[in-house]
Amino acid sequence: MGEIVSIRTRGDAQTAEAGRRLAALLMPDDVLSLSGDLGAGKTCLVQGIAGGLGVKGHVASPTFNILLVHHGRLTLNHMDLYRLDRADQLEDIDFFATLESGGVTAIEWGDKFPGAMPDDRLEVAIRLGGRETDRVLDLDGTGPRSASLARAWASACSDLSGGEGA
Amino acid sequence: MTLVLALDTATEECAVGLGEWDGAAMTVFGETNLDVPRAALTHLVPAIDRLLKDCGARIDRVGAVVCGRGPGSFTGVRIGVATAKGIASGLAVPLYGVGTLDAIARRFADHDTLVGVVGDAMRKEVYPALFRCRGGRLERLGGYEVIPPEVAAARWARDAGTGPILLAGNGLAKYADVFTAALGDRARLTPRADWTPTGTSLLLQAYAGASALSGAGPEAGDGDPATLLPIYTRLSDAEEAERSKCGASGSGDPAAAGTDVPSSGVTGPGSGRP
Amino acid sequence: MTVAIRLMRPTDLDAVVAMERATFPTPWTRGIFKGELLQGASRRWVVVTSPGGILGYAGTMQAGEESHIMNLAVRADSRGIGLGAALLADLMSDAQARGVERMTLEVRPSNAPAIAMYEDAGFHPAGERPGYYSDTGEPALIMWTDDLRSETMGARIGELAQRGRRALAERSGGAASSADGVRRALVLAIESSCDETAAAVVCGGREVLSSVVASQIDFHARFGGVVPEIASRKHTEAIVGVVDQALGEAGVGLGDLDAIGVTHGPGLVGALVVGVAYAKGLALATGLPLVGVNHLEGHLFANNLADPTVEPPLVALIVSGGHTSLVHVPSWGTYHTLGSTLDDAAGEAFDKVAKLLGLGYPGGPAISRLAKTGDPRAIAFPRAMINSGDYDFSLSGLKTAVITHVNRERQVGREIDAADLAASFQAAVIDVQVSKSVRAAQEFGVKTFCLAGGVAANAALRDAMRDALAARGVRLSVPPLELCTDNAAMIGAAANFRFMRGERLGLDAEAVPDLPLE
Repeated sequence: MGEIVSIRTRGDAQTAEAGRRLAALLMPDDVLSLSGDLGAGKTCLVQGIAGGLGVKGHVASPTFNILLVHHGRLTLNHMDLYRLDRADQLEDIDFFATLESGGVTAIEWGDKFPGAMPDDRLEVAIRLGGRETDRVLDLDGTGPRSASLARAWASACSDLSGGEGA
Repeated sequence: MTLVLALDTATEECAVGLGEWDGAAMTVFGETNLDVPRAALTHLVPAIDRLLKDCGARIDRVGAVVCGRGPGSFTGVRIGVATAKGIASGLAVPLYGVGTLDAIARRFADHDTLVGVVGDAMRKEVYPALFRCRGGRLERLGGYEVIPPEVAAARWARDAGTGPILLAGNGLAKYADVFTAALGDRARLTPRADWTPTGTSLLLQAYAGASALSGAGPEAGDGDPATLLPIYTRLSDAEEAERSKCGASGSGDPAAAGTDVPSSGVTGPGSGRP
Repeated sequence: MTVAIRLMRPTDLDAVVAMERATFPTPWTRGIFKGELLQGASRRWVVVTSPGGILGYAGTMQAGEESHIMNLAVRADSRGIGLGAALLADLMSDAQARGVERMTLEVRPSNAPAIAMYEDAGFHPAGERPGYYSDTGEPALIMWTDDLRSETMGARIGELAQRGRRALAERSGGAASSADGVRRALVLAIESSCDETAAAVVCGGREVLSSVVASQIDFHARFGGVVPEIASRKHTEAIVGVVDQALGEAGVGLGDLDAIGVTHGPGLVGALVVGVAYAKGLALATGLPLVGVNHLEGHLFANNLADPTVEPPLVALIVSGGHTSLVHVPSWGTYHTLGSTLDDAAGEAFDKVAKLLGLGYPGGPAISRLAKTGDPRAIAFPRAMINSGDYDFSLSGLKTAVITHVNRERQVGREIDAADLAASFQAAVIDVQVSKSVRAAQEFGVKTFCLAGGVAANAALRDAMRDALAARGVRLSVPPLELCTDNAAMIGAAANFRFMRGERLGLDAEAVPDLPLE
């Protein structure tokens, strides 16, 4: 809430590793809103989270199917709002009921519909770092639970990557 | 005589009912209520099949279908409406619709009182609907909407007269306190078992005000399965928040909010995020 | 080419009212017919349908133990061949089944052919109603049957029904059973796994009598604005109209069907539930068997549907917006997924790069068009996983490479040749897909390779596949475009296969968003 902490990664493997470390901290009803340009690594991050939750099998991009559900230690609802044009289309995909179904929800392109996000969510904005494969994950917990999750996650990833760059 | 099958899956419960309409009165033969959260699709058709058997009836004798249109769980409403469309189309009989909140209020129609039904709309919001019941007749006061429970409760406290208000609906599981606080000693919380529609209440609601053998009540629609739809409530919160965010950032086009794909122009500089 | 009797629907009213006006001096209005259709179980209204439209209609009203035939008409150009008898047989058999004891009707004393038909069916004159016909002041001849439950009437109705069936079969050109006498199943298929709502009627897994998708129906014309716009994923709005249109175009009624097939996975759960729920309701109401179909299996069958000589053993590449899978099919019903995408599906990659280049939606065809004038070797994009030794695909690295390239060029102020970029990107995608497909075909020793899914429409992919496979003696099969994009005809073909094997979904069937192909 207010404070933004960051995680830096170098390469897809580290982004995925950051996801794996987050998985250990997740609890039912946690919501992650992921934003970032095409190719920033949103799906890569979720693949890491899935791995950390013990999900078996491919965790592919949900762009076309909009929602893919995976089962691990927690149920992982992997959403992608890329193909939605209007907020009223969120009901078509049962968006709100999914958020409250007792699993963890990771929403790619969640920043498209800020009004529809729950009050307490962890916003993860992925941007490019200094070098081509560097990424900076800016974490913003908008409520008490997500703020504490952001701090714990950033702390768990402090050893990743070099610290230099943007 | 028309054999009527009713169903609703807009709440976490599957409600099914079978009755006979003789042009003036509805005789209920049987009903079922199953508590099956997020599992309506699995249980609805078997429940209908079982009820028909228990009542000694055959599906091909059903002359009309009634279904609850919500508002409620979006997937739940869809399952009920789509199943009802399949049954009505398959039998070539009319499909009538009732509001789920209205069917819940119908359970208290014999009391002389106000009834406030509160449906859980997720996102810390509710579907509130206020009804006046008197002598078996039900009158809905106002339209359907989705708003925070505090707003709904304050409105009822302020605008809904001075007498007692019976409270029902699955939104009370989360927000009973909000309503009892706002309404004080006017609040009459009904038992949890009364918070959902029943087969009986669906049948009665659909045929309320009907006076001929053909056709259901005046609010039940024209019977065409193709045009019966769920009750959609406007996502006012999401749209308004989006609009205010756009206004704040200076972009007048709601569609531009949050679309941060790099610029399409490959020959010029990228526009980045709005 | 089927001529059949089915229940009358609101969508038949235009044709019925036109025929009514052409046949009777004091015709019923549209409003009367419309009202009749909403009356419920006491009425039975049926039509004779054909590829050339409605050929006749009839209706009864039951009151207690009596049933009154209220209307019966056959199109002028189709009289004298037994269609009237077919209609009459339908109404009388139905009445008999309901326990009706006697049937009655009124007819003009001057209508000798009609009176003869009714007498043959067991109706006797039994009085008159004076001044019944307002145009001429003619009385009506009242006719009654004997007790329908008697043996004589039973036999009469049986003969009438046989005559009717023969008349229908003759008009159908004998399509009811195929040349080898094998009864071919008529399946209504329903598909709602993601964006599109679709329905189709397929005969024998082979003949597509109709294939309808919601995005191509003018719902406003049909329902006059009562139903909101049918946009993507508005399955609840579209399902009844789509199914009705599919049945109508096929000229069949629910009573003609042998089974209902429905896609029950994989896909978006909020979409799947509408198709599955509707299909279950329909199955409950009609007693028809319900068959569940895997959407991906539908894509495999699309090839066989388009070309019946395409048979396993084969290897298939399913490439669409949501899927990229390489599948070995030793026989229908036995599928081994050799590999699939680890991240982005092929169609998705095309769409995202198209958006990057400002090419609009859908991106695949746009990239494909642009690439024609570009140099596929202009930029050396990575061929991800081409040497991985397995059959999985990964396109996110390629997507990132394209984005990185674009950003770099922009940074140094170089203008990007979009055609070269499109061609080079496309080549990178195709190279990997062709390479793995060819290797799979060789490893499993198949002579047939199938391309399926929306991306199969990409001409460059098709051509590259065809050439590479032909060089190794493997034939490539690609269905026409309307069978590559999501449709219900392919579901009908797969449903027929499952139906013939005796597979059924129970009343407790669910939508399975992650349904595996195996």
